[in-house]
Formats: sequence, structure tokens, C-alpha cells
Amino acid sequence: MIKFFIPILWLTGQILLAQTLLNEKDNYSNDMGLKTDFGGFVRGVAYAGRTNDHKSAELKSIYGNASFTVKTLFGDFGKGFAEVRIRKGYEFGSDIGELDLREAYAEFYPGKFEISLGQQIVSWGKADGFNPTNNITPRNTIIRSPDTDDMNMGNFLFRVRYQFLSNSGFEAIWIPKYKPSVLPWNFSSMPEGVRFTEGDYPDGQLQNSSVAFKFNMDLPSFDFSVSWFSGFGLDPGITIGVPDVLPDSTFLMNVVTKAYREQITGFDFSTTLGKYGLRGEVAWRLPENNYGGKIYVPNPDLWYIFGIDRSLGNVQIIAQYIGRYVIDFKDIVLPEDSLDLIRYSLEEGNRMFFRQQYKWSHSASLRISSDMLYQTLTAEVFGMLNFTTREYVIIPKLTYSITDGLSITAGLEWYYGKENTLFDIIEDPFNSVFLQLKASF
Amino acid sequence: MKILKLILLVLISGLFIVKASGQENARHIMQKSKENGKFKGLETVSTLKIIDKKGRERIRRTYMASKSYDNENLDKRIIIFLSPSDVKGTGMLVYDYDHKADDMWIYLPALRKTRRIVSSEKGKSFMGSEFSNADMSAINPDDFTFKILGREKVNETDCWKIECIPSNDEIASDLGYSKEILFVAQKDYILRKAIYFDLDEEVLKTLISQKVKMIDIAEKKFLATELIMENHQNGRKSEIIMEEIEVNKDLPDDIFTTAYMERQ
Repeated sequence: MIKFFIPILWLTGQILLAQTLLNEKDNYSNDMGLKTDFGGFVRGVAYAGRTNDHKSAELKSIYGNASFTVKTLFGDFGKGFAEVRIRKGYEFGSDIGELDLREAYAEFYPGKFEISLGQQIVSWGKADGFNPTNNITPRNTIIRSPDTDDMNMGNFLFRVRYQFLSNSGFEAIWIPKYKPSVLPWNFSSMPEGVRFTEGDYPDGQLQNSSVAFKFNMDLPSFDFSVSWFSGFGLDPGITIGVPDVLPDSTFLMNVVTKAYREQITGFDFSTTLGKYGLRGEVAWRLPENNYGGKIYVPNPDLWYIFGIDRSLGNVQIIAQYIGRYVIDFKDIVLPEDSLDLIRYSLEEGNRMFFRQQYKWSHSASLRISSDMLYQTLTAEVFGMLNFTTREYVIIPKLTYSITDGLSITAGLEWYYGKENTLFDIIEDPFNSVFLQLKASF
Repeated sequence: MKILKLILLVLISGLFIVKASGQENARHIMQKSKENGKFKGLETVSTLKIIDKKGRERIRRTYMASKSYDNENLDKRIIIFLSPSDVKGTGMLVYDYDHKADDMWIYLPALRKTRRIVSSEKGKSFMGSEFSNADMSAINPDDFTFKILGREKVNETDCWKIECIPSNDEIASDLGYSKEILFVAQKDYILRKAIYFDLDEEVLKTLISQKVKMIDIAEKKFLATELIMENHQNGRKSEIIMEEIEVNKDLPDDIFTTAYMERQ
């Protein structure tokens, strides 16, 4: 019995030691000693661009969006957090009305542990914008929003972090149920007699869950982490599904998204060298064994990013090289049999979405941002150029803080890609000017 | 003749010693001022008021905790923004070393990531205020040469008036100052006033410690709890008012970690 109580007393002692002024006094405190904080935002967002024939202008997306957050602190014992979002408007030619429980989780801090369970967003990786080691929470890549965090989708997770030293920690995550990213498949044109349908995804059996582990260390002048993920890849591929027979006895070919298992071993670091910040991130992806025979499964690859950042007065510059090496790369040969043409084009499509069209590919990204007018006006330009596939994106934007909590953002999103590239597919639906008026509370 | 040479030598040496001693005294005062600002553990909740030249105010509330690790010549400091809503949750973690470049991380809730940042940008404005990042911590005596210019009263407190000149152009450029004139109180070594000169040697800002409190009775340590920084070139003003202060609390080391910053 004593043996049982000693760890509990030790944990309790650890918790009591961790009481800080921050969690004692910064927020509203009720009779139970709980501190509950409500927040969120409301905003209007509009995206406008050209029609597909480039002859006139059209609305790509207009919506009103409200976010409500609630955070309850239990001293330094733990917390509960939830965010609900409501979005109503029009996007890509259809009316939208969404209610989304984006995050809802509870956290407990026994000693040096941090244990959480629920719908959560986890973001790994030290590179800017592109994170090969970020494989925990899926992303909605087609959502039209100036705030990049809106791409993140909550996922049900069990997460344990153990900060065993002040500069070192270990993290383990269990993802019981697969949730895929939203990719712009719908913008690809399908030949007559072929239909795109969403979802041949793993069910809720425990064997279909995913796990991830990360060890991180913050040394003087150098931070790094090593991570490992085993489970279903967030970006599903496409393959040929079971065809439907229509009432007139013709066949309708179904193209379906399908998940695949993979392991990803990652490493990232950040350091400083004089006035320069250096960061890097690399991931080795190893899909399930017989990837060669399944067109919806990517080849193994190495995805690596090295970046340098520098501040010059009020201007911050982040430049990155982004490279990918595809292991066991083989060219796809145009089939002689016309029946194999669909499989051929799906394989081409998968390679495009997996960014595996070439054995080696090389890209560069640049982000320049500047704070002006005493940090009330922020100007930012983000650009990415893929030298191998000849695609680029440029996103300039201006954000002005009218007063605390009230801001206006205006900008442009412009994609260009040569034929048979991802940006070629998305440039017509995505190229837009945008405006956002946001009130946070 | 020999005697005359000897007298001259003694006089020159004496002058040199007096000059070196003046320099050493000023340095000693600044060192003591820095050490007085160190606490075993310090927590504050403060309000930062940013006032533009038309008198319009923007208000930020911050939580700050710091802890000294004497045997490592290290101060760890964490700052978390409590309001307004659009910066709430933003955190900054600083490992302030005495004899090498600081380690600094920033957590931005919009990115859900902690990012290591380069510590040399000390001259940058702290959250759009007239305080720079460098103004938020005591000056490092190794980075300056000091000279006592005299003694003056500031708000009826006797102070040493000390000129601080950055040791080299790089430090000056990082700080954005060519010179600082500091008024350090003789009774408690607390900075009562500072005048900052820009790189063109024009007066840029004036800092006034409006209120000084003894916050550690056992060690007789004081802290400036209300600070006003006035920018003479743009007419703006910023105020820091420490509303809640706790000292010598045995703050756990876990507070000064990137994981703790992300948890908030």
C-alpha cells in the first residue's frame, strides 16, 4: 500500500510545486478555484478570381466564420480546451454551411508528464511552411483562408509528453482512427465514364491505428528532434474502384481515394550562426512493403529542407531549399492497351500529388515580412518555385491592425504550373485576390 | 634630474590609476546594478501601455517569470502575453547568459510552433512599444565602456550619472544606440533614469523609473515597478506597470521550457 502511495505523493508534490502566478491570477476565478477563459473570433472572408475560361471575374469563396473557444484551467493540474467553428457562405460554386468541433480535449499534468486525450491539432517540424515530419494531424488544403492555421484539422489523439529534463522531452502519440487530409482531387478533370468518389479508408479496428514518437532536445545554441511515425499516410492516393453498372447497361468507372500504411523517420534542427538562424528538416518515408504494385502508394523517398533566416531591421527573411529524392524511381510507360490508360493516368496523378514525378526535385521558398507603423501593419510575401516541375506560387498580403483585436487583411494568391503539374490543376480555382476582416475576442 | 623624472613618472602613473579606477568604479556600479536585478525567482503580471502621439492607447498584459542560475551565470526568463486577444498565448523564452549570446525562442499560437530566433536583434521594438528587447533586461557590462560623469538627483534620489558606450560598432548597431546616459541610485543601485542616443548621436528616448519598491526584504532588493519610456523623435510613449509581483518563490525549472510555453 505504501509503495502505491509514494508515487502519488511524489506526483502531487510535483504538481503543487508547479503552481505559478500565471495560472493563479491571470484569469477569471470562480468559487471552485477554476479559471475559465472564453475567446474566439468572427470574420468575413472573400476570395475572387477569374472564371476557368479567363473571360470574366467570379467569386471563388465568400463566407462568414465564427470561432468560439473555451479553456478551463485547473491550476497547474491540467486544462480542458474546446473550439467550435461555424462557417456559412459559398465556395467553389456551392453553398456551404459547416459546424465543426475543431478541437476538444482534456489535459492532465502529473509531474513531468503531460497527458491529453481528445480532438487535437499537433504540429511538428522546424521548417517554414513545409514540414516533412508533420504527419499527425491532417490538413484541408483547399480551404480558402488567409490564416494558414485554418488548414489544420483536428484529429482524435492520445498524447503523452514527458519532459524528463528541462531541455529534453519525449512524446508519444496514438491515433486510433484514420482521418485523411482534404486534397484538391476534385479539381482534376475526369474523362467521360469515370467518376471520382471519396474514401476507401480503414475502419475503427485497433490494428488500423497509427503511432508516433518524438524525442526533442533544446541545447544551448542548438535544438533538434528525432521522430518516427508508423501508420496511415495523411495524403491518400487514388486507385480504380469497383465499377457501377448504369440502368442503360453501361459501366461507370469509379476512381476512389485509398489510404496506405507507411513509416516516416524524421529529424529536424534549428540553430544560430552569428546573426543568421539556420534550420533543417528531413524525413525518410518508407511505405508498405509492396508499394511497387499499388498505384495509390507512393515510392519511398527522402524529403529534405534547409533554411536560413535573417532579420534586417524590421524585415525578416526566411529562405529555404526544398529537395526530394524518390527511391526506386521508374518512369511510367504509356501503355499500348487502351484499357490500361486509366491506370496510367491515375498513376501519373498520384505521382503529381505525392510530388514524385521526378527522381530528384528541387524547389526554393522565400518569405519576406516586415512590421511597420509600430507593428500595426505587417507586409508579407511568400513565394515557392519548383525548378524541376516548373511550378510556382506567390502570396503577397498586408495585414493592418485597426485596433487591438480588429484587423483587416488583403492579398493575392497566385499559382502557376506547366501542364501535368499540381499547380496547373489548382491555378484556375485558386488564383484569387482576397480580403478578410477579423474581430478577435 | 632623476628625481624630476621619478616625480613625473609617479604623477603620470597616478593619473592613469585614477582614470582606470574611475572606469572600474563605474563598471563596478553597473555590475552591482545588474546583480541587484537578479532574483532567485521572480514572477510578475504587468500592463504595457503603448500611447501614440495623439494619446491613443493600446494595452497589453503580460506574465513574466525569471530565475537566476548563479553557478551558470544564467538568467532564464519567460514572457507570456495574456491580452489582447490577437496576441494572447504568444510566448517568449530567453536564456540570458552573462558571457555569450542569449538563447531565445518565440511561440506563436497562430503557427502552433516554437521557433528559435536570433538573439542579436536586441534593438527591435518589444511588441510595438518604445521599449526595445534590450531595454527589457539589464545591460551586460562586458558590452560597454563606462564613465562616471558626476552625481545628480532624480526625483530627489541621489544618483551616479554614468555614460555607457557600446564596446564596438556591432553592439551599437544591434542595440540601436550610440550611447546611454544612466542614472543609478546610490542607495539601491536601481536605474532611475536613462537617456538613449541613436546611432547619429541624437537623443532618442528617455526612461524614467516612476516607482521603485523594496520587494525582497530579506536581501534588501528593490525593483522598478513602474517604468515610462518616452520617444523624443516620434512623440510616442510606453509604460510598464507591474501589478502583481512575487519574489524568491521556488519556481520549478519546468516553467522555463519551450514545452511549458506551448502548454499555455
